[in-house]
Amino acid sequence: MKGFIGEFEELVLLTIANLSKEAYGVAIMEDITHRANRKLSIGALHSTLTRLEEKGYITSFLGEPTAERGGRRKRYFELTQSAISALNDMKSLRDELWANSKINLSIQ
Amino acid sequence: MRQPPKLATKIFEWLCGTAFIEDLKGDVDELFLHNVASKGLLRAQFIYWKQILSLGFSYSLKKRKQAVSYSHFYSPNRFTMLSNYLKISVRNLKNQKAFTLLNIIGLSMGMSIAVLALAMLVELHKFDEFHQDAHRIYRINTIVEKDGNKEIFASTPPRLSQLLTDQVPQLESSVMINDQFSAEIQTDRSDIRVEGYITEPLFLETFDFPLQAGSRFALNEPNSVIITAELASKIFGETSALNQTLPTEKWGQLKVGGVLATFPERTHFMFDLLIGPGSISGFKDQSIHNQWTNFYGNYCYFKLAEGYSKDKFLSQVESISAEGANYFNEETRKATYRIQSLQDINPSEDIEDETGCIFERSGFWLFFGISLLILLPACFNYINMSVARALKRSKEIGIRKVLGSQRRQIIEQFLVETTIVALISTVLAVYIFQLIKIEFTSTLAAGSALSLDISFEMVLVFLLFALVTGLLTGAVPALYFAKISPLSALKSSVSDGKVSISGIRKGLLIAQFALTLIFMIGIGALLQQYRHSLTYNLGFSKENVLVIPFDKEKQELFRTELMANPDVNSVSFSSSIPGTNLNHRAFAYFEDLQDSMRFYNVDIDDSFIANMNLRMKWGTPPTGKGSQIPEVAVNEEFMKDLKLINPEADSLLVQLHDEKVRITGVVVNYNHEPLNSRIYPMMLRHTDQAPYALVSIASSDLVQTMSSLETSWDRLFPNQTFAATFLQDEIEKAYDFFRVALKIFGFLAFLAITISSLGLLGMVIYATENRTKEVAVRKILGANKFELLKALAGMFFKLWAVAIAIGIPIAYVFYDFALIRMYNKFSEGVGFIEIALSVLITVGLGTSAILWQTNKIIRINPAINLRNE
Repeated sequence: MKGFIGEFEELVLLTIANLSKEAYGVAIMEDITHRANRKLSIGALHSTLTRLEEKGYITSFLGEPTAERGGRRKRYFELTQSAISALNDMKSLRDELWANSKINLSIQ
Repeated sequence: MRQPPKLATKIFEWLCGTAFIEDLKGDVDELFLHNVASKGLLRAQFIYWKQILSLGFSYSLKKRKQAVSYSHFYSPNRFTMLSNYLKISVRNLKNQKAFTLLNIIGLSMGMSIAVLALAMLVELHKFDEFHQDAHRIYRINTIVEKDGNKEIFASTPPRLSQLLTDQVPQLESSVMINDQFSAEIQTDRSDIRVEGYITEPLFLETFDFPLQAGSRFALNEPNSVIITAELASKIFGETSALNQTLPTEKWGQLKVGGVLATFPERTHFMFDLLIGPGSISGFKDQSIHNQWTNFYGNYCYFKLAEGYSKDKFLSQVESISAEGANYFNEETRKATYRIQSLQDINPSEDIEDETGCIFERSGFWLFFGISLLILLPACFNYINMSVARALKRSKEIGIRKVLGSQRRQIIEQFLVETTIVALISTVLAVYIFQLIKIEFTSTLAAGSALSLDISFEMVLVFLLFALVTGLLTGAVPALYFAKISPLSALKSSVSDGKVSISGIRKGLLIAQFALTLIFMIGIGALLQQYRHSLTYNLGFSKENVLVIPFDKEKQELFRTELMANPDVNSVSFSSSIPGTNLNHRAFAYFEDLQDSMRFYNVDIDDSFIANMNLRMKWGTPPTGKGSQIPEVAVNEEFMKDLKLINPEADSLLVQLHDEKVRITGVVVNYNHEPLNSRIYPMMLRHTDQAPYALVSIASSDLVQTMSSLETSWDRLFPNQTFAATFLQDEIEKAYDFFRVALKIFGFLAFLAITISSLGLLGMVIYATENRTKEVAVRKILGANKFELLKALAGMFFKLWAVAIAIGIPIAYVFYDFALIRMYNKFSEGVGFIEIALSVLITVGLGTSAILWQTNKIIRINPAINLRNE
């Protein structure tokens, strides 16, 4: 296993998975803002993306120039295989913990 | 247009440098447009700013910047690059031997004075450091306010220190010192004048002046003293000084109760001996009033207990000193106190009534200013020459840049080079400093306390100085070269063929020439003033007059003895040698008025006025005969002041502090004092006991006359040595400060001239070397020598002309002001001749440097020059 994934990093990875072909900076940011209802700065997001790329969980490529951004290109992100396995590890660990919980965790 | 704020974008781009940020910018722009649509322009702009800042300092940007700044070839090991810089620098310096040599010599000369100033600063900060617990020792300064004028005194009321000693338990020790003790110790050869401190045994406990013999408690015994090792060896030589006696006229026999070992010279205390207060009669029995207000020459040092702070002590001082406030009030004065640390005494601010050896800060800054004035031209030269060499080095820079050298690396290369030059120059400068330091300390009043031996701290300071000088000087050429574009550097179009000496460089050259001129004119003016002072008609005859100090009791006997000598024309007596400084001040009072006037008193005999050829304006010289009231003569200045104060008075009686005198004559003003002093009101008073004989002689054989005079002297004063000097020599001695000033100016001018000549030489070499081809072509086309010279050196002569036009008025105003202030009305100011001569010498030196170099180029056979390329 290549290091741990933090909670926010997991959130970003899963968002990229959700957005699939449309995963670029602004899209990821807006998705997280709407879905998780939390405010985040663009700087923090890009820092996390850079870290994830360093760790080898995502790769990035530049797309076509877009008129909307004054002809500037978007950087798209994709999950790597190691990200998928790390997400799986995380999920199974979680499932196991939920299943073994001695207290009833369901909300009445 | 819905544009994001431009300033924010600019800042972002500036923060990013060359990093790839297209996608990031796209993201923030997209968000901005969204926000404008949903939240309005203002809010969108605000959010944009926030985002820019958060991105600008984010990890992702840092990472991207790193990615562009590091190439695969970049070695993280800084030493590899440094050794590379060093290697290239050394090669470059070797390659340019002439320039390197000029630079090093120029810089080392420029730095020598600065090194001297730094060494002095380091040494002064170590003053009094050798005492154990020096950091806990303080003294109290008294600040006296009268009529709105504040004066800080180093001294302290004795009563205050007594009260503090009694009432503050946190004082580990308190020492009172009075520096008013002085005596003449009589020895077989001559009298030795000594100065000392009146103090208690605690002095030697608080300060680390170790004893080599005897006990410090000798100070408790009456008439017992402790002397320094220097004084002991001066009087007793090799024999032990302990328990010997020192005969003095004023204090009787003083017994040596202790001898100090030699101690470091770096202390502000200056004394030959210590004596206890018990030996001085009437030292302590003063009224309380006087113990408060009469504190001149009385100093108090306190060692505070560990942990007892200066501020707490000060508040104690303030509460205890309340008692003295009344006594000061009675004299309409107000005294406050402050605490001064022992280590802050040197270098000091302007404090009155200081004791021992003190260097004032203001003088120090002046010295620093002068050293900068010398150093800066040397640095300018370096910059000038390095930039001028751009042509030669542009290929190197171009290739480096093409090969991927970064701006920073070019800059570092040059800084390393300059630092090497600066370090070598500093070593040389320290050598020069070693040569001049003794001369220098001998010109300072308190110079004997400075040893200026090189210490570890000094070496550190020198190194730091070399680094700073190197970096600052190197910065200009470094930035210049870093700016050059590689393309133009390779095409050699940096200074394309032409000898471009830019406006700034011309300005620097002119400033240097002007500075040199100012120093040279200074020398000329001083020499002229020195000559003027010695030949000035002082108003009395000074030729062929011998001055003989003698025992004044035997005045009339001595006169008869002298007059018997056939070579002696006339003899007169005076209490002060004319032409030298006066110090006997007295006051005249006016009965009905509170006013008084100050004047100088000179005691003379009957014949003084006639023999010295003083002209009488009115009346007759004073005589000792006749009336009950003593007779005096005064000078015109005296009468002027007298009328000013008391215009009604028509009496010639003047009230002095203890008696009345009658003015019998007025002499025409003459310069009894050196020319740097005004003519003050003066009173010539008749006396039968004046200590100086002024003997006018007319002799064909001086040696014979002197020996016959000595024979008659021996008859009268068998036990005393005959010490006759010529009046003219005595007067010359009063102008010794001129020699000191000349020495200093001479050295500074020497440095300034050498530095500017070197700079000039460098520029000429550069200008001519780049034009050898041009010269060859011109020569072949038929130019004669004069035309070539004009083409090559014309610019330098133009610069000289400008420098002269600037330098002379400045020098004239400066010296005229300085000299006139010093000389009042007796100076003729700065004359034409000295300026012309100084300028001629300076220009001559510069011209020879120019001609030497240009001649070299002109003389070469043009064929050789052309074949070269």
